[in-house]
Amino acid sequence: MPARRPYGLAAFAVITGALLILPGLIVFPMSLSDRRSFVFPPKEWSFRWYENFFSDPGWTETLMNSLQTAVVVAIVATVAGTVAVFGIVRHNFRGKSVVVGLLLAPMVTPIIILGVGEYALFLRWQLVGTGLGFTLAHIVHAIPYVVLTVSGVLMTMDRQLERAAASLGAPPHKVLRTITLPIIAPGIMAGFIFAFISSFDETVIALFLSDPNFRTMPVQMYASMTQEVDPTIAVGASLIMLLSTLLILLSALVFRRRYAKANR
Amino acid sequence: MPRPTADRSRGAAVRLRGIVKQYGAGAPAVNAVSLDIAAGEFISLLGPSGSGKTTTLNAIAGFIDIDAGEIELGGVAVASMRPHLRNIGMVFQHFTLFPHMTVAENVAYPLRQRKVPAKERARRVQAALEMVQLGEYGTRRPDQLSGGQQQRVAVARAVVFEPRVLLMDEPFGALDRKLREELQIQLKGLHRELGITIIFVTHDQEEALVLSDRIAVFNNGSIDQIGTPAELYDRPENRFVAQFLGESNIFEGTVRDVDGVRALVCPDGRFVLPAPAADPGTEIHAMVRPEKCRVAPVGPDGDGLTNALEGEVEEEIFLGSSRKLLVRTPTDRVVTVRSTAAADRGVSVGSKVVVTWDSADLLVVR
Ligand SMILES: Nc1ncnc2c1ncn2[C@@H]1O[C@H](COP(=O)(O)OP(=O)(O)OP(=O)(O)O)[C@@H](O)[C@H]1O
Ligand SMILES: [Mg+2]
Repeated sequence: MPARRPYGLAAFAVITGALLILPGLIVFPMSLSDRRSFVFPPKEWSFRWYENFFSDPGWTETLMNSLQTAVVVAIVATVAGTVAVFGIVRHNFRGKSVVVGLLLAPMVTPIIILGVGEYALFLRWQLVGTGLGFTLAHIVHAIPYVVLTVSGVLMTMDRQLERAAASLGAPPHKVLRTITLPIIAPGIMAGFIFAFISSFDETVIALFLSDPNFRTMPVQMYASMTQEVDPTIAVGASLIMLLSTLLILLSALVFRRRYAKANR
Repeated sequence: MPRPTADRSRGAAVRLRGIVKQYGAGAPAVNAVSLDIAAGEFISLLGPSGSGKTTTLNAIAGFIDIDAGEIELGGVAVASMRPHLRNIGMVFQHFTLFPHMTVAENVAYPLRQRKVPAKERARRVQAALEMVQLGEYGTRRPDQLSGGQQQRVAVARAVVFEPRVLLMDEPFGALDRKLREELQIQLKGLHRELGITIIFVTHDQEEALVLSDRIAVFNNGSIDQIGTPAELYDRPENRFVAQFLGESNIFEGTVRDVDGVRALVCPDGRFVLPAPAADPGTEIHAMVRPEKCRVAPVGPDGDGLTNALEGEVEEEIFLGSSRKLLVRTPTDRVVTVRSTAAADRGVSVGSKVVVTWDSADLLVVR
């Protein structure tokens, strides 16, 4: 317990947080507006745009597309990223830094370049406008998040614990299952959540890969925004915000429980 | 009350033959270490930092592949056996309780690996925890325990599956002195009770002296001397052992016959050597322990004794039951004397004194 509360710091944090969050929060009241307009604040409240959202296949289908893609992406990226991290952290091999660079490259490459490249490639492979195309592109984009979070926990894990387990009679696969994985689980969980969100709200690559057959919700929102004044988009935005926030809170909770445990 | 006696048949003999471990280029971390450890023995590997103690222990546990040599546990060659098959308990210097398990789950872990049925498992976990006086702590998490308690749980976990050998790598190194001494006593009792072989790594000579049946002194990757604490203290084979175990005053000089008596002649004086000494003309080192030395004020006639060094008390250190005096000689070396308070009244800092000892207490060392 600090002797003096840092009020100045707290005020700074609150102001920064407000600046970051408030513009986004505007979508919630707007989604509850009565009018076909983006007037803020709305004069009358209603759920008509929510009704509209859930009765319009253009929205529900793209929402399902986004969710399905994000779930598959998160699962594949988490498994692939975690396996890669074990190779990188636990072994030394020639060209290791190249491998690390390649794994992290999608994070630092301007996303528009990724989009153009994948579009050109996927055109040839006939993957544009398919769920598979979206999933593959988003996996590439999501893996760096998993690599960063999982390598963070794996590098700081005390390897003596694994030796201890071996000395107690556990063969390597059991050490992995009963000691290593449970201990790094929060990192894997966080990687999963980041991977999910990175796919769920990804727009740039999605714009390239979309066609009338298959699009995700951010693309639907973009289209709706540029074509007409339709407050249904605020509903979509609210749903994305809600889901992302819930997931981030969940991961924060997981980490916090862990942290509290480690510092008790 | 009947006192549990050591049932040494429950321990396994450990034989090391010419163990070599080399990391990269340069001198090997462990070089031709051979060691015969009897079943049920408590042996300490004692030596300075980097002398190869942990490497030797890890080789026995199977955590590292050795480059040459043989390791036998209870007569079975294990050098190429995976660690989880060796059935050796181990306690590490750093706390290695599994953070995601309760204390009881930690202790149950080796029993689970051996598919011990739940009922018996619970009974043995409880018995092991009671043995280290933590019977009430089974439901706690490791981070709810103090360092000493964590290490006691680690000991319980390492012996609950009844291994015949227990390895300990500076298990009390991170604990404060008082706690360390307490745990040393408990460990001694435990060793007597279980009768298993314990190989204990430490760089604390007192700890080794308190605990061990025998001590192997490590120096630069090999063993300089193996023996009981008394043997090492009373008959160190070389200067390294003499200096590492206890305090010592070491003189370097030439052996000569002086007036028909074999003596060490060195810049500090002439000291009579005990009976089976070296041949005249050889260069040797000789050592006398501080507690074998006596001090007396210089007499008016300053008698030219052999086995005597004149000097001035430079420092006086109070040690409770005794005093340590640092005496600087005219040749500018400092001789350490440990004396019981009554024997040398009147001697204090600045006193001119004569340091003497019985010639039988001067040991020739390599
Ligand atoms: N994994 C490793 N890679 C390279 N060198 C190592 C490794 N482990 C140990 N060494 C070297 O081997 C030598 C012996 O190390 P070891 O850990 O056995 O010493 P120790 O006697 O246990 O010392 P301490 O009392 O400090 O624990 C040291 O010089 C050390 O630097
Ligand atoms: Mg060590």
